[in-house]
Amino acid sequence: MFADSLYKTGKYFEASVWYERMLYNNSNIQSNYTAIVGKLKCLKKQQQYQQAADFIKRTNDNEFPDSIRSQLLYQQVLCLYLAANFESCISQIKQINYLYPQFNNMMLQLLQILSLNELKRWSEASRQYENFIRNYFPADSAIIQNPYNHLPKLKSENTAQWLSTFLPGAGELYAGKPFEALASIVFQGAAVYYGIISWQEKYYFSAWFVGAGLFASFHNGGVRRSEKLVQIYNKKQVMRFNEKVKNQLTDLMSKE
Amino acid sequence: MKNSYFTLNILILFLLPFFSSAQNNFSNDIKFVQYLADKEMYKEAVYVLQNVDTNKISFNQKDTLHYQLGWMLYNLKELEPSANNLLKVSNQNNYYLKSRNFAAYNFAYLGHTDSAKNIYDSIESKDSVLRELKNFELAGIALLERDTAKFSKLQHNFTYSSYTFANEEKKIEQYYKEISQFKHKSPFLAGLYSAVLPGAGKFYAGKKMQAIGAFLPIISTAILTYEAYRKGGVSSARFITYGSVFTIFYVSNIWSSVIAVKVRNNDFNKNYNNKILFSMHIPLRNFFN
Amino acid sequence: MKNKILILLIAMLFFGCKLFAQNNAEDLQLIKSKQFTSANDFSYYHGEGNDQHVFKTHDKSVIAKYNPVTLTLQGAMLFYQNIISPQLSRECPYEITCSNFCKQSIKEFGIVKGIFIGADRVLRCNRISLTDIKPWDINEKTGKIYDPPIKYR
Repeated sequence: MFADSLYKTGKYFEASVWYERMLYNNSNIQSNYTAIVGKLKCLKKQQQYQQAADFIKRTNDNEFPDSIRSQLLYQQVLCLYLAANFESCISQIKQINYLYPQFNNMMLQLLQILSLNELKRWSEASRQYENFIRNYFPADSAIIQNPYNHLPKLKSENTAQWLSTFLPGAGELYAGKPFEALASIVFQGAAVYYGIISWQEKYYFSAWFVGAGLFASFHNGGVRRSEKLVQIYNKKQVMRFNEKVKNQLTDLMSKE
Repeated sequence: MKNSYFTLNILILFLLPFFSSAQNNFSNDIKFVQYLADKEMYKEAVYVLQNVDTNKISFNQKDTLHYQLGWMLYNLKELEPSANNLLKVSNQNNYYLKSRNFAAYNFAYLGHTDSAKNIYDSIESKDSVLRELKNFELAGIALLERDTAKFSKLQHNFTYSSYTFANEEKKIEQYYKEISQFKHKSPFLAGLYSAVLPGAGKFYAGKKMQAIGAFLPIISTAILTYEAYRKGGVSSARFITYGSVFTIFYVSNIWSSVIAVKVRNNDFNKNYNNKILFSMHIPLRNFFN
Repeated sequence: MKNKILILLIAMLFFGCKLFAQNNAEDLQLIKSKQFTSANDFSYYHGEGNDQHVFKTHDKSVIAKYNPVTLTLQGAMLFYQNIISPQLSRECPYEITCSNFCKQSIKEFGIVKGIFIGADRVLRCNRISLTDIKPWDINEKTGKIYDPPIKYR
């Protein structure tokens, strides 16, 4: 097939147009399915996951037999996950579980756990994880360590802000950045020192406008910076935890 | 004989699937392009059209091809290639007038007003509405070029009788009045005002809030410099630091006031050009769609 | 005879069509390799036109690259962007931040005009001046103000 040969040479956009044409010609169900699968593969290769999910939604026909519809629904869920559309991914899985419980499989459950992780809904993810291990890896369930027993310890943005408000540099130190804490202390201290020296030497405008002004800027900046640093810290902790769970589950499934 | 005939039929039936996906029937191509356009898949539509073998189609089909390609490129906002394709549509085609009008509009949008005018000059308008449409578009182009004399001449032919562009004729007249009333400012005066009073040049150039926003920091650095000079003298570190900062801000304010006049003119022109082009576009969409 | 040929034909047609085989291993690899955050998400300067790297001279000669003025300006900009600016932690309303605007202005106009146009940008970066911004200069998607140095040619 011409579209297949384009796909094999890496011309994914061109191949997707030919697959779309097959769909347009609407010769028979088999041909339509080949076209849908082909175009889906092209969109995935181009990393256009949201378009792939939308494409499946538009073309997944009730005339297809159950085995094919379940494949397409699974691919739609996979593409929604890869497009970082986690809420839609979870809602689609719930819909499948309700309308077509016979379609539920290992990959869908994996995607549900990973999507819940990305949304930081760890209590739900933990329940799903336990069900997953019990159903698909019963022999290993005693050996496998449940990662949800050691959730990432996140820091509070409010605490960082309050610390920085009353103690320059404390918020940055709390966020795990000692050099930034030191810089904050140095700049705020220097501004206050300059203000005091200027006032003593009767440079009143300098003392007020430069000294106090710089101190206020660095102080407020320090409060905002410590909040930002805590956000970055939390984001990295969540990322590490989610990676750990993802690697554990994908490695287990790869061995199957 | 009967067996070989039957075998040949089987062979053809077997080979048929391998050829069906590569059929080059032009009308099927166009129908497929329409299907893609309905789904707003214009990039894909352009790809299909660009892969049509022009050696295998008739003259009329080439017209259709150029029109479709021009229209798909227009939807992708690739105006120059769109215009080039639309211009290839011959006067025998039903879409000739639409193609010419949109090609001219594309060139006007891109700032190639001479090309746009040439296209309109080549169009023969057969009825009064089309003549007035042509007149209106040429008036719009004259206004884009700021050729007020030509605009006035073309404006006399506005009758406001066609519902598709009567409103736009009135709007474009309003734009003409506002453009005529635009007061040109002198960059030299803007610089001079800023030299005398920081921010005044920006105020003169129409940036009133920027004037206040510039005045306050400059006057503050001036006070700091003066305080440093009074208490420490010319050689003090404070005076040198604050003086340098004041000088940079003061000179930058003068320089930017001069440029602000040019920015003001550019902003004004950009704003009105957008309005004129929008007014020119509406009758084309109403008339030809 | 004819029935046998028909069955053969149908079998040939099905053989010619490829069935989609669920390739779990490929999908697992895709899931495993997918990263939803990048290093850019954690950097202080993001967006097109913004970075905190050393400003490079247009002229590549040794004198242009290593003279005291160039080194002082490069050092000052590097120090400001990497040490001072995070401590001030201001939310810039412009697409291109003031420090990056300065760098681009110097690149566009040369050192003298570049510094003065950059200084003017600093004077325009306050709440009073921002009320003069025209609506068409605001990027609808990001909400940031489009203000590149080329506007001040």
